[in-house]
Amino acid sequence: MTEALVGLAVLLILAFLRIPIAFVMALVGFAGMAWVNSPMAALYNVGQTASEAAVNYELSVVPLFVLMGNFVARARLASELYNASNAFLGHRKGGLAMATVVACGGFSAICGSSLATAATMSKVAMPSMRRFGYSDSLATGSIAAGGTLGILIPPSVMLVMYGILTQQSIGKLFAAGILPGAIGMLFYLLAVRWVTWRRPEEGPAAEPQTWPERLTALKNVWGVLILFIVVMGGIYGGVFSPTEAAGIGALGSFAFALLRGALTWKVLWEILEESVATTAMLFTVLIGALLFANFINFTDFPQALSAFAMQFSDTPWMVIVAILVIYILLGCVFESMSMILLTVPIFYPLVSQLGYDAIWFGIVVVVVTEISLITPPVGLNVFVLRGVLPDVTTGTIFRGVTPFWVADIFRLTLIVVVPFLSTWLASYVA
Amino acid sequence: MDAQINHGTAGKIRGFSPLARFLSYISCLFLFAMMLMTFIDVVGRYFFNAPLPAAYEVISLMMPAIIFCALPLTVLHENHVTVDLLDDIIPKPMAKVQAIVVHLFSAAALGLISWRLVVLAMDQHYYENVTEELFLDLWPFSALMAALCALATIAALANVILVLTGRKIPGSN
Repeated sequence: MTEALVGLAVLLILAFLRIPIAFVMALVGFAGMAWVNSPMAALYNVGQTASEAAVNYELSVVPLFVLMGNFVARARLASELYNASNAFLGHRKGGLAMATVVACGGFSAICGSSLATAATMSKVAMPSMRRFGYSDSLATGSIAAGGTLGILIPPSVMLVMYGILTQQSIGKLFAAGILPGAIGMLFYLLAVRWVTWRRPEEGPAAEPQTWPERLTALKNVWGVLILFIVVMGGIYGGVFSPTEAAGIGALGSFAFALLRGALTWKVLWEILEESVATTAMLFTVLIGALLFANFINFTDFPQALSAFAMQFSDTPWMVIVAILVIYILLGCVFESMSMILLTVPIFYPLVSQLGYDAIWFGIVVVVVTEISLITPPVGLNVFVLRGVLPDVTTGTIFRGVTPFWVADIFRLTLIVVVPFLSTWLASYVA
Repeated sequence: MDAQINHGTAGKIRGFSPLARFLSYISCLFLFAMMLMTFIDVVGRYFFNAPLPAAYEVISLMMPAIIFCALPLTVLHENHVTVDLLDDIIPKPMAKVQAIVVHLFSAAALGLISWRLVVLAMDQHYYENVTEELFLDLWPFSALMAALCALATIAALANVILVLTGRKIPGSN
């Protein structure tokens, strides 16, 4: 118990010194293991863990989905999505912001990254929202919040990592993410509604489009539809394994980018280099997190924690609430992937012991992580927007994000209280 | 996935930076090849009833190549996830000390992993461990991972020198 707490404390201190979280977890995990087990066991554990995490077929979905997301981001599919949702929603009050949210949701369905979604959408949606006189806070808020949908709506790299840590079916997790993702979109639309109801001048209506125009705009999103249907349909229908689906999705988005003339040799190399850099970074975090988890699991901390939690076995929801509060606090500081890799090995056994569904908990964890992406002081999506739009202040973006943040808290509550929303679709996946 | 990609002001190091970049290109080729392989495997299986032989194993062995070939450049560019909340609070003169501590820690972690991969390779060599389908010797793969991870360790140490000589200014990214 003491060992684990000391380990966690040292981990936090070193992380705050700005040492990469992956290396902190690896070193603290190693030192802790040497302390609670034996130096020999700790040494052996390092080589074995690093090799097992790297030489791994199941994890090949990660680089492939990252690659797919990067191709999609460059294939200019985002502007078609935006135009199509705009054609249907633009004439409403705040309609362009609504269109942004819907387009973000559609983009998330083929891209597993929040940052890529936010960065791509800001280039597409921001100019037209500015042209129609939208306030910067509503415009950037809708993009930053819409971008968070990227890690819940499948394909989601975050859900893949959760599935691997907890040995749950990735197909089931992906299916489970769809409804909560759609609910997220709906709640964001309501948030836009609320903002324009309070202050109509923030989101004036654009001129309506005719039905022929709408249908033409809709026709252009076929690329996104095909990719989504092939990849997700393939996984749900049991035709492909997630790895195969990711490979096909990556190749499909490569083909799209190529057909649209978005690829030069230079761009292709940039996409590949970006993808392998992200992959290397993710796997270092994974190896570090596994080393740290091995240490924690060797201490009596998990038992102590669950013994403590079992005192609440009559009111298990209190444990869930406590976990969510911890996530929201950690999310203020930690990057989302390291947060999940660090905490899931600790919380998952606890939650399953209390009789909760593993798939449901995965969705809850990802939703709460989404919230951390737009929570000050380090909401990453906000910083992405700052990078793309240097003339908007961080304060403005955080202000714009607030109604969406509130919508997210409502969604989190709904998903926690009604597990059926997550487990229903998952139950149809073999 | 959702990491800050902040390219550090990587000072060029003669001989080493090009090597790290070259390895990153190799990693790119492996990733592209892996994408093609999964596709050919699926098409072969469903349309020609002839999946690629041992695709499962080849893909699992390509994974460490992608990860570890890209690692030296990732370390050199400081693309790893950090908590940088205290950056504005830390006084300028301390920033340099902090950067050195950070890179030394990174080097220690990477060095530890390289060392243990060497030992793993030696064990696999001794016990003549082979893969399940193709009966390939496992130790050369572990040895390669160890070598590439050692290069990443050197990259972290190079960052220490770049900070010391003032060619990399902490907090400028």
